[in-house]
Amino acid sequence: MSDPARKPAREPKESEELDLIGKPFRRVDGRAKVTGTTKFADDLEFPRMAYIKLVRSPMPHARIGAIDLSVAEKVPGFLGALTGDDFEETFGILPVSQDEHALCRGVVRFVGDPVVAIAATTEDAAYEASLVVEVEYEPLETIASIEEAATRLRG
Amino acid sequence: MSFVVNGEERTVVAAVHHTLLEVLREELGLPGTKHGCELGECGACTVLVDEVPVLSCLLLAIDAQGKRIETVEGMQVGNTLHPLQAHFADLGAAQCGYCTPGILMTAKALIAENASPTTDDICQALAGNICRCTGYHKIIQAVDLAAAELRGEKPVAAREVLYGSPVPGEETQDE
Repeated sequence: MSDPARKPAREPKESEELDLIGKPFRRVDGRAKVTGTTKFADDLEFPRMAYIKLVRSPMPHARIGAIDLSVAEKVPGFLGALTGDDFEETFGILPVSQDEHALCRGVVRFVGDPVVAIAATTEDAAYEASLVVEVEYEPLETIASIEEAATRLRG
Repeated sequence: MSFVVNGEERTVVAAVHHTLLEVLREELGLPGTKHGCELGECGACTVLVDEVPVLSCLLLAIDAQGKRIETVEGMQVGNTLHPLQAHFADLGAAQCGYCTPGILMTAKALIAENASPTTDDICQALAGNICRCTGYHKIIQAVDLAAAELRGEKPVAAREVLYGSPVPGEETQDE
C-alpha cells in the first residue's frame, strides 16, 4: 500500500461533494445519436459500392433444382450472383446456428429462406435482376400445425 | 424535383419511383433519417412534411414536391441542441439511436400541437414509433421534460429517472 506508484492521482477531497460519483453524465455518443450523425451500417457509402438483393424461397419446404441466371445476367448493371454452392462452410458462432449457411444448399426450409444473392451497380438494378432469376423447386412435405403433426404421428 | 428541406430550397434529380426516404438519404445526403422496416410499421423514417409527421418510406418523393420537409438534421440551431435533443441525450433516451430521429420528429410535432402533453398524450403520439431497445420510459420522460422546458419552465429530472428506483430495503443515503 505504501508503494508510491500506487498513490492516487489526487488526494480525496475533504468535502462530501464528489466530482463523478453521484453525478449524471451524458453518454459520450449521446449528442451524435440525437443529431442523426451516428453512422449505422446502412449509412455507409463507398466509391464503386455494389448492392446486393436476395432471391428468397416462395416455398416453405422444397428441394432446389436448376437455378437459371441467364435473364438476370442481361440486366444492365448486373455484376454477379452467388448461390448456396458458393458457401460450403457454415457460419454460425452460436450453438443454435452452427449448421446455418449464408445461402440455402439444396433445400429451402421456410418461405423467405435466401437462395440466390445478386450483386449489381445500383440497388434498383439488383432488385430488377433478382426478379428475373428462375429457380426450380421440388416441393417437400410440410407439417404446419400441432394437429397435423399429431395425425401424422398416429399414422 | 424541388423541396424546402430544413428551411433550404433544394432541387435534385431522382427516379420517380423513389421514396422521400431514399431521396433524403441518397440524393440530399441526409442519412439521419433511418431505413427501418420500409413497410410503415416502425416509424424510424418519420419526417415532418408541412409540420405533420409522415413516414417517408411510404411517400414518393415526387408527391412531396414543393413541400416543407424537416428532418433530424434540421433540429439543432447552430451548435445548440433543440430541447428535445438535449433531454434525449441527457437522460440516455437514445440507446442504440436508430429510432431516435423518427421519435424526435414525432415528438416535435406533438409539442407544436400540444404544449402540455400528458404521459398518455405522449404515449399515444409515439405509438407509431417502435424502439427495439425498448427504452420507452426514458423517451417519454425526455419528451415530458423538453415540453416543460419549451413552456419556459426549468424542469429537473427526478432522481429515479436518472438512477432508477432505489433497491428495495436499501436506504438512500442522501437527502
